[in-house]
Amino acid sequence: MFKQRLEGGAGDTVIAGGVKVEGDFVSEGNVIIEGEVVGSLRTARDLQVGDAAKIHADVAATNARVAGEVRGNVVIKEKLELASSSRIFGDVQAKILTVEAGAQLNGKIHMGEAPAEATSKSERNHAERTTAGGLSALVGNRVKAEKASAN
Amino acid sequence: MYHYIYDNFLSDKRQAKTLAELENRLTDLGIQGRVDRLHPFKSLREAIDEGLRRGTKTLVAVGNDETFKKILDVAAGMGVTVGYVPLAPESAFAELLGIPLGVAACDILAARLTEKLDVGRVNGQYFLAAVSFDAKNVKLECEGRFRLELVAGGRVSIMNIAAVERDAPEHVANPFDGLLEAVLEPAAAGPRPFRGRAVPSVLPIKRVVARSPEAFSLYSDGRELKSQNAEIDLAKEKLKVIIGKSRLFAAMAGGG
Repeated sequence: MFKQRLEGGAGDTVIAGGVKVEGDFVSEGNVIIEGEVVGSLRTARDLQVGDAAKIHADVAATNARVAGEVRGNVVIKEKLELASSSRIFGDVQAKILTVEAGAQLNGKIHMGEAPAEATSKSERNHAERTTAGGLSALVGNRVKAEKASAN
Repeated sequence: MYHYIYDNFLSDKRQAKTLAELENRLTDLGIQGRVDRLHPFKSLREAIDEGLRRGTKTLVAVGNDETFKKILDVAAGMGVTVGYVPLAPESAFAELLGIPLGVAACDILAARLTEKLDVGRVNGQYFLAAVSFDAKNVKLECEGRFRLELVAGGRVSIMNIAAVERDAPEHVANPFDGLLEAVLEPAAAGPRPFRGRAVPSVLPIKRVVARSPEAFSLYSDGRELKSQNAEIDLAKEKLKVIIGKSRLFAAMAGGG
């Protein structure tokens, strides 16, 4: 009866297409989203947002790769990758940011060590004003480099 | 001391040969013990309590999955080790636990490889494998913090190990990690011959409440229950059970 069954991942969460999550979703493991999330989304580990996923939520994770749509602020402790199909409508904070050509990022970018919770809103705004210009150039250079390598 | 609970269907004369073989094998292995037979007018709990007073250390369900389920309902959390001798043509619990069908299960009892497994609870009743239900008109509230919805319907299985229905999702949960797994399988789309299995959602959870405007059917380890609200949670390491090497969860943490 069970011979063909697959063993589950160790605590990983998969929210597949056709499923909607509403509320404060918190996970200790890796999270893969292909469906819809409304509210807030926080994981202590890595997050993967598929190209069909729709997230209307503030997002926090250690690392993230986004290929779908996120409407909300994104706070990533380490590395954030925005795939070419990604659409972000909100502010982004990460230590390392990579942006593929075609990615849409509509919001402020903050890069640095301090986690979002530890900084006050005014401090964050100040930091964003002082770093956003430099980062925009950095992102632009990376996009140009990726376009060049694609050609 | 071993305490064997025989199911009522084993009183049938056609089962006499199998029972004789079973009892001979138990004697050969030196694990014979007290025997009680399930009967509609006999309380299983009283029989088990009496056995515990007389020193039962291992309680063995002899019969089919329904027999095992009845023992699980009473014995989980009692501190007694539970064994199973499946004497039915097929058994989902036997497959989950790695126990061969028939008299060969006596060798597993004698080898006495045991594990402490988590067990699930639905409205206070224990389940070992999973609770499954149709998602239509059912709202799921998880951990008191977020809600889950299968937008176009489908099937929900709250697994401790794996769902026992034939068309259940192909997923095995870890019965040692203190978590249940909610597996949400969207309804298959497209013309029937070409329907593929949709990718299920999997969420580790500790507690989920399923609510519906009307009473709906849930299948707890295959047994049908009807309820308007189903509170499903987990009891950590509640069942000490005798298992075989080919158990379904052998590769999981704590399962080795």
